[in-house]
Amino acid sequence: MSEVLVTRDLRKSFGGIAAVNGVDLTVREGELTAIIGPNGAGKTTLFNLITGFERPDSGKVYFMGRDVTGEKPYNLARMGLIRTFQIVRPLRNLTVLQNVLIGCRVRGLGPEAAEESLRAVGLWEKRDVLASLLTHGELKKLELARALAMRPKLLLLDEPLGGLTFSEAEEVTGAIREANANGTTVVLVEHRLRETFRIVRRVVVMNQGRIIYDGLPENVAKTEEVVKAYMGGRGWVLGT
Amino acid sequence: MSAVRPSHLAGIALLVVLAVLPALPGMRALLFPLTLTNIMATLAIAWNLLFGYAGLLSLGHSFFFGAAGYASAILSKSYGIPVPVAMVIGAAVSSGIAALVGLPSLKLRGHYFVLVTLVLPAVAYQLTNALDVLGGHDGIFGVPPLVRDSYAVYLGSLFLMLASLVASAFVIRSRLGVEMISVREDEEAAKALGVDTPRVKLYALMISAFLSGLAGAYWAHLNGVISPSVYELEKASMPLLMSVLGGKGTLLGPVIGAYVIQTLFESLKIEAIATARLFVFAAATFAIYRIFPQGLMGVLRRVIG
Repeated sequence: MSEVLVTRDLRKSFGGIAAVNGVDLTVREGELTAIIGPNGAGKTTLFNLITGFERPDSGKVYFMGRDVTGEKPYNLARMGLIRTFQIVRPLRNLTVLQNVLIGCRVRGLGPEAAEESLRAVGLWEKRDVLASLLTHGELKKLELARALAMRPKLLLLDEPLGGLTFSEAEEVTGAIREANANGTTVVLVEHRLRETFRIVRRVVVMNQGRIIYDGLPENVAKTEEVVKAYMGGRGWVLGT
Repeated sequence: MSAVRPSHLAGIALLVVLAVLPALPGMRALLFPLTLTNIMATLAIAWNLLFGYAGLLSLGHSFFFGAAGYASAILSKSYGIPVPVAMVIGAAVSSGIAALVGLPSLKLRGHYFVLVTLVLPAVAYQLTNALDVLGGHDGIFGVPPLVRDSYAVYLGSLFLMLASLVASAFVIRSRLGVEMISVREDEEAAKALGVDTPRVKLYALMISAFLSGLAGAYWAHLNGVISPSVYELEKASMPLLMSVLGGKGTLLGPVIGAYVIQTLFESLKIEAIATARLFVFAAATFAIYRIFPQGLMGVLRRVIG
């Protein structure tokens, strides 16, 4: 399988604190990968560096074989590198459908792409509702729908399950799994490990800006460094 | 054939009234104030396109208004260029300067763009005062009129306002308009959706400056004179007050705001409190904004249901 995303020795510091400290990550076409780690591990910063929202201090980012280090976020989005945000960023005074259509237009896609993605996350019935009137769970789904509608080559999801009820999380994981089954490569940052480990085939664990584990979900809890990172070495039960 | 909406019929009726009213016997005195109102409404439409739809606050639209006025005055008076052509070139000059100013300032985060727009009219005021080629303190006199007949000038101003409104509507409904709204709503989200936010902001500024420039050029040819006073605070504040009062982010809001404010200015002779009028209008406008954030358009919508 070809490499969709490659980062090489990626580094970013804020005020002398290394948020991302030499990350080498390769994501291949069709993968569904989770990046996990304690708060402050550098997961969101890594997303920001990959998607151009932050410039790395050093290192390289390659997308579809092309060096895109420091490329503008909107150019990357047009190339098919799409992301969502940890804290939802709806266009509040636009309807649900309008929110989704913007990305479709930019990518040269018709309204059917918007309909398809809204149906996938269960928001089609609310297409004419203003985004400002949605619940948190619906906003999370809208964020995912906007990203899916752009037919991403690589989809980076920042805590897509954050704050969702179990049934909402079920819907969202279903939509993610479906998108992946249809050929979209997905990398997601998530803290809800139980649901996440059910759908991913690869887990990357970050701590203090570095990757400390990269492998199968079932082996994560058996790795001492990971257990230490999460629980200070006092033991850790994932319950997957 | 699609059905004609009642609101369209009402709009057409209102336009006919506006076009005919000053031509009626005893109504000629309305010609000049209504012409001014249409020009200010055009400026407010231009300002609202930038702030109401792209979310970019400009405190110095009088700069684009005045720069085009000066350019059109010089081109028509000194170089004999026909007035309509000079007006368009003047507006293009404003738009070009907007591009030069916008290219660096729109890339900055935070409120730098607002600060830049605040400084522009002040710089222009000093420059036009200092440069003899621009007429210095007294400005440029003898600016040729667009046409001699004052009723035709009035109709021209009405057409200018309508054309600006149609142009705004066209922009808002275009892909650029949707992208402008996305920038207004959340610039970071817009970037993630693939919106080239610096380009969108630049185009919005250039279009807004062009429309402001048309208004400014029309104003210069209407008065026959343009001086540094065009850059004073009142001209810069008016489009903001008109748009907020009428309803920012709505197409007709700036027009309604302009008509209300200019009518109070001109018809009720509030000049008696001339020094305080800007303060009075600002206070009244923001009081209305607090109660009705959608301005008079919001009130109208509630009344109509």
